[in-house]
Amino acid sequence: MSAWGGEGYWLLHCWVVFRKELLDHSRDRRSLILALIFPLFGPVLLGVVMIFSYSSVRGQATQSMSIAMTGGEYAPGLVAFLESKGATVTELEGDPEQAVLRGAVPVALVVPPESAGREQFEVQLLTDLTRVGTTSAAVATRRLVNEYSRETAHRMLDRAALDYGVLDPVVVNQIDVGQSPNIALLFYKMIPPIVLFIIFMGSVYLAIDMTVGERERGTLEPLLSVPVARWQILLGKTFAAFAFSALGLVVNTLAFRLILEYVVGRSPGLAAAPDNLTMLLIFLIAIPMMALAVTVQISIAAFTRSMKEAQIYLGLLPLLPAFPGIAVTMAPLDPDGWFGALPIVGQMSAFANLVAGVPINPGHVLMSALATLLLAALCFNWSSRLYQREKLFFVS
Amino acid sequence: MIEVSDLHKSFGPIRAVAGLNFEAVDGRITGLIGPNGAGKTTTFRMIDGMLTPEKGRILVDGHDIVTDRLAAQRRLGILPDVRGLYPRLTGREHIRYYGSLRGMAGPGLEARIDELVARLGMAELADRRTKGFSRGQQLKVALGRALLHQPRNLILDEPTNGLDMISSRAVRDLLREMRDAGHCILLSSHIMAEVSVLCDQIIIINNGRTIIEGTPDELRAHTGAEEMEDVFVSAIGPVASDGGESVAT
Repeated sequence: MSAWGGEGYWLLHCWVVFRKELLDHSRDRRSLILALIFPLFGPVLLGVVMIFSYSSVRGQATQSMSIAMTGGEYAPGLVAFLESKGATVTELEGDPEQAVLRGAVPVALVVPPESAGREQFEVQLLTDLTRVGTTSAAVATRRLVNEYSRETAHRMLDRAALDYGVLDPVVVNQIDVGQSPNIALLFYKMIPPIVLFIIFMGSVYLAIDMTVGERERGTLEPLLSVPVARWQILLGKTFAAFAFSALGLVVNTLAFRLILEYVVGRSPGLAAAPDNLTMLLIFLIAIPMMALAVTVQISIAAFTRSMKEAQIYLGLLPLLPAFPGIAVTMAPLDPDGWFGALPIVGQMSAFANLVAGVPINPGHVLMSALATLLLAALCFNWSSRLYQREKLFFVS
Repeated sequence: MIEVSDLHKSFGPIRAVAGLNFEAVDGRITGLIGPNGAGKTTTFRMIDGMLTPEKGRILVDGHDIVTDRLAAQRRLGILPDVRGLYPRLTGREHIRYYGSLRGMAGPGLEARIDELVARLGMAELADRRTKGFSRGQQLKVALGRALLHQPRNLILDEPTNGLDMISSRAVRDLLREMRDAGHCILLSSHIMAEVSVLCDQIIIINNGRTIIEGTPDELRAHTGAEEMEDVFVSAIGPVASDGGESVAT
């Protein structure tokens, strides 16, 4: 059987259906929003959050540290030490615990009256770690107090003519062998889950409208009365849904590329944004995922009895691959593990490595692509069978 | 030519078609009429390949619709009861889409579309999107879609329902032309006056079975009624829709 000539004309039939669906849905506001506008939300949101986070971190790093204190008069040495380190010590009026709980101060340092005149004493550092942004203040205050404690200890050891080493018999030097810590890398890890969501959302409306929607409108009967094998009609529709999904992903990856480049450009010190090659590789690796997403969506939509039912199922669908996908992003898998060849998991692992600047395993990418395409082919086969059912014509 | 023999179809406990037999021959307009739920639409859906008969056989120009579906569908043009239009496509785009699927292309296709647009009085509608079309306007587009490839066999479910008088007359003239050219036309209609003037052969069915069939004159003679509406009532009986006994077989 020839693709263009011969009895089947299957490629021609696919092309005719594909062209019609593109024309039809290019006139549909909902399809266009899902393909062109919706994919912008993730990159824009990520860019805005990065800018705010960067400003916040940079602000904390540059501004002088302020420590609210109660009972500072009982430990003048500590106050003098803190001020010598650049901290501004303020006396806290009222109940320090309430001040921290209200968020009036990020942390409070409480020196009890019995500390007066003593070298060895206990202080309380009051924190409310449920408040975002107080962690760094708590860590910085504790670090300064510990420094003061050590200095005092050294003074005491000097007086006792003892070696400093008795204080620190074991010294820990932490050496990070990973990339230099950079807040941007945390945000780049959000790219793969967003890409996955776009893959599963970009074509969802088309999948519903072209199958169960066609049945509800009554257009399915005249369409299937033409002398064309039903799988050819379905293949044309699948390609059309794929095209919209791909369009959505192009917009998404392009937006990530441009927005993150802009954010990094105006925020010195942030790790470089994923480059053109990275985003291109993400798009190419996502192609089998789009094929799977589209065929799964069409299968489910063809199985359901109404557009409402299809919308419920397909609205939840992105969550299914999202769980393993997000797990892979947050807890990178062993690149040599067998799960690197699994559909979705393998691609998400590759995405996570790409955005982190870690080399990907080409063998796993290929294996996961083949496994995903095989799964997509099985889904297509199932939906083709659904298209042979009489029930297809009965609207609930 | 469409040959239907011993056709059966049930939906759960409901027997929609129960042993239907008839022939719609070339060069004639055959009317399949009956009350609501008589089995007309189910029969049409089996002829166009949407439903599979439980028992019996349908041949379209000798091609079995079950075992040789695509060959049978190539010889069919369908106007279903639900016209089924895409609201974002124009009338012309609808017809072109179906023509392309049937292998038509180029100037030949466009010329045929223009011809149908003129014949069906669609000049004002052809380049408008079909969203918001009246029933009659939808029917014209669906008719254009069904007639485009000049099918040897035409199945029309209520072909003038919703059309104004002028358009109805144009459609009737078109159908007569096709009949005279040797096409087989099988239609259903609830407009008895239309059935009377248009159909060469009438098959009255009820409860999925043939009650009576013949030319309009034969049916008038058989039932003793002059008007086709009276012929129909006489054939079906007053409790027909509840499955009452027929007066003629």
